[in-house]
Formats: sequence, C-alpha cells, structure tokens
Amino acid sequence: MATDGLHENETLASLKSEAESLKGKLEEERAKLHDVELHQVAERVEALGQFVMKTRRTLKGHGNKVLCMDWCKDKRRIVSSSQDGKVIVWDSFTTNKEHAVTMPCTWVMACAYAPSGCAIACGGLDNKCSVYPLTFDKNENMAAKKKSVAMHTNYLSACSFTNSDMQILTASGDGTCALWDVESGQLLQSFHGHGADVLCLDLAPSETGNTFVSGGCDKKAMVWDMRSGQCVQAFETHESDINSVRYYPSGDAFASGSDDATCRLYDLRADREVAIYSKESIIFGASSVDFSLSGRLLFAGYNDYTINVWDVLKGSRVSILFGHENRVSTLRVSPDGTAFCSGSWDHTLRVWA
Amino acid sequence: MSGSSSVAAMKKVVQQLRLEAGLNRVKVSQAAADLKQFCLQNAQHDPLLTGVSSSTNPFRPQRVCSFL
Repeated sequence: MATDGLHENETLASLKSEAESLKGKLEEERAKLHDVELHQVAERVEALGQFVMKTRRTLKGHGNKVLCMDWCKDKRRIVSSSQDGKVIVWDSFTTNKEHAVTMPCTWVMACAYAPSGCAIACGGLDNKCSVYPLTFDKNENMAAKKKSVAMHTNYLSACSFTNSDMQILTASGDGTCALWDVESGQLLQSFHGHGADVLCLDLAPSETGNTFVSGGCDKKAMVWDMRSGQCVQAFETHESDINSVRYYPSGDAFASGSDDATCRLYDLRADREVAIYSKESIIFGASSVDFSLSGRLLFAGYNDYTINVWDVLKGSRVSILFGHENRVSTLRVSPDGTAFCSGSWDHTLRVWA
Repeated sequence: MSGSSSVAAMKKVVQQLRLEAGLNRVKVSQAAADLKQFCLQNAQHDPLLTGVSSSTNPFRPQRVCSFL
C-alpha cells in the first residue's frame, strides 16, 4: 500500500509537469502566429463618421431590475425578465405588453424567445429553465401550460434555443452548461470544464456548425462541440468574470464583456485574443455585448449606466450613449440589425436606432 | 483529498491540453484580414452602421407627408 501511494505521487508529479510543458507549448504556438495587431490591418480602412443613435422607444412596466432580454425573429417582439419574477413579452413598435407571466422565483436571470416565435424560455434562482407556449387566447392562463425543461443544481444564468423550438442550451451557476430536449426534458449533453459559475453563452451562427461559446467567473471563455460535449478551445485573458459572450457574425470570432471593464475579441482560427476594447476612463464592468450586422460595431452595456459603441476593426470607441439611470444589464441587436435593445436595473428597456 | 482523484483530475487536464495543442492555427494577419473583409463586404447591409433613413427604419420617427 505504501508503494501504491508513492507510485501515485510520481504519476501526479509527471502529469503536472506534462501539463506545464503543454501550456508553455500552447503559448509558444499562439505567440508565433501573432505577427500583427487587428487595428494595424485596419489602418487603411475608412474611419467611421459621427453616429446619431437615440432612444426610440422606452418599455416601462417591470417593477424591478431588468436582467435579461431577447428579440423574436419577427424583429419586433421582445421578451424581458426581471428581478421581481415577471417575464413580459412586448411589441417594441407600439410598446404594448402582449403577455406577462409571474415566475415562482425572483431574479429571473435568463430568458429567450423560441425561433418559431410561439414560446419563450426563462429561469433564474429556481435553478430551472421553463418553457411557456405563447397563446393569444384570453381565457388561457400562460402559467398553466408551463413546462419545466432544465434542472441545474444552482441558478440559471443564461438560456438559448438552438435552431429549433425542440432544444435548449443552458448555462448555470453550478459551473456547467447543458443541452436539453424540450419535449421530454431529457438531458442530451452536458458540458463540464469551467472552474466556477458560467454566466453566459452564445450559439455559433448556424452556417458555422454545432458549437457554442460560454464565459464564466473563472475568467475563461470556452468553445464547445455540442455533439461530443468536448471543449475545443479555451481563452483566459480577462482579469475578472466574463459577463457576456457573442459570436462575430461570420462565426470566426467572438467578443466578450467582463467585470475587468474591458471587452475583447477572440479569433477562433488564430486561437487567440486579437483586440481589447478599453479606455482608462472606463472603470466599470461590461455586462453585455452584441455586434451590428456587419460586425463592424460592437455595442457594450456597462455598470456605469452607459452604452459604449466600439469600432471593432480599429479598436476605438465611436460613441457613448446615455439614457439609462442604472446599470445596463442586457443588450441585443435586433435580428435585422435596424435597432438594438438594452435592459437596465432602472426597470426599463430602451430600443435605440 | 484522495490521491487517485487528483490523478484522475490531472489526467483530464492533460488530455484537454493535448487536444488544444494539436489545433491548426492561422496567422493573426490572415485572420484579421478575413475579419476586415467580412466587415467591408457586409457594411452596406448594416442599418446601424449606415444609418438607415426614417422611411425604412420602423423605429425612427416617420416624416410627415404633406400634399403640395
């Protein structure tokens, strides 16, 4: 028995040294390919002019902090969720509320619209992700048709339908992500690797295949193969929690927003960070990021109540948007790119264009 | 903590690192050129970038029609 212990110690030590040497090799490989900076490649690109972006609609109705929102594919409906447990579906053109449901828990941190537009998913402190079919029948109680799909062992931080209404991808404070079948509630795949709470996820654009990226409190962004459950790439350059991740429209890169007050761009083919969007004057965390349709603009909502608009290629800030009276907690560009919506701890959502 | 679980955990770490080390990577100059290319090619179809006029953006205020 004593000899077994000795053997294990040797194996552990040799594994540790192999890990160190592999990490060193990875850094070397990545550094070799770092021949230029993105903004240098973009030097000759025409600079962007002045942007006039204003709040065009304000959606009022939540009784507490807005935590999450998502657009419907019809480019006009929006679902939002709040700390007070309410989930509301809005018509953003008219600002009318079309549906409202009260969750049995507070802090509904995640919500998503189904691709068909016929259902929404949400969850938070209840550790679950539930799906609600949307009905226009006044006699039907939305809460009655609720279907519990995902079960985690800690809070639900993010959820997203895949290409269809049939599958949902979730991220949780329990450190894992998971893929679920909506109809049966069955767990199809789980993704282990984060060393702490997972705070966000984003699915790759459908043309690029079955992968998604997640970000967490372990400062890591991880790219996963949905079929195998394997982590295919990992990036650890942020200095604090990663609150938001979003794919670049081509699927070859993704952006992240973090509590370290920076947003960063990671290129998947170069396998490294290729840009940092930061300023000395920005000291509050970025809570949510999204790209404009061409990927040229990166919109980021911050805990200092502002939204900064970045030139993705040149790395410079092109605009700063004021309006919210508390932290911006969520931000998404509309499906046709004509506007973007932000949600805030000031209880409102704003549509900007 | 038992010795064997640390070994098992380290084995996973090493396996993962081996996988990542085997990746085919592209030079940043190439990757950056492709990102730039994508932006420029799609710039015209990006309403928030080009600033779509009021008549086509459903969120911007409509101009009032007047009969002359």
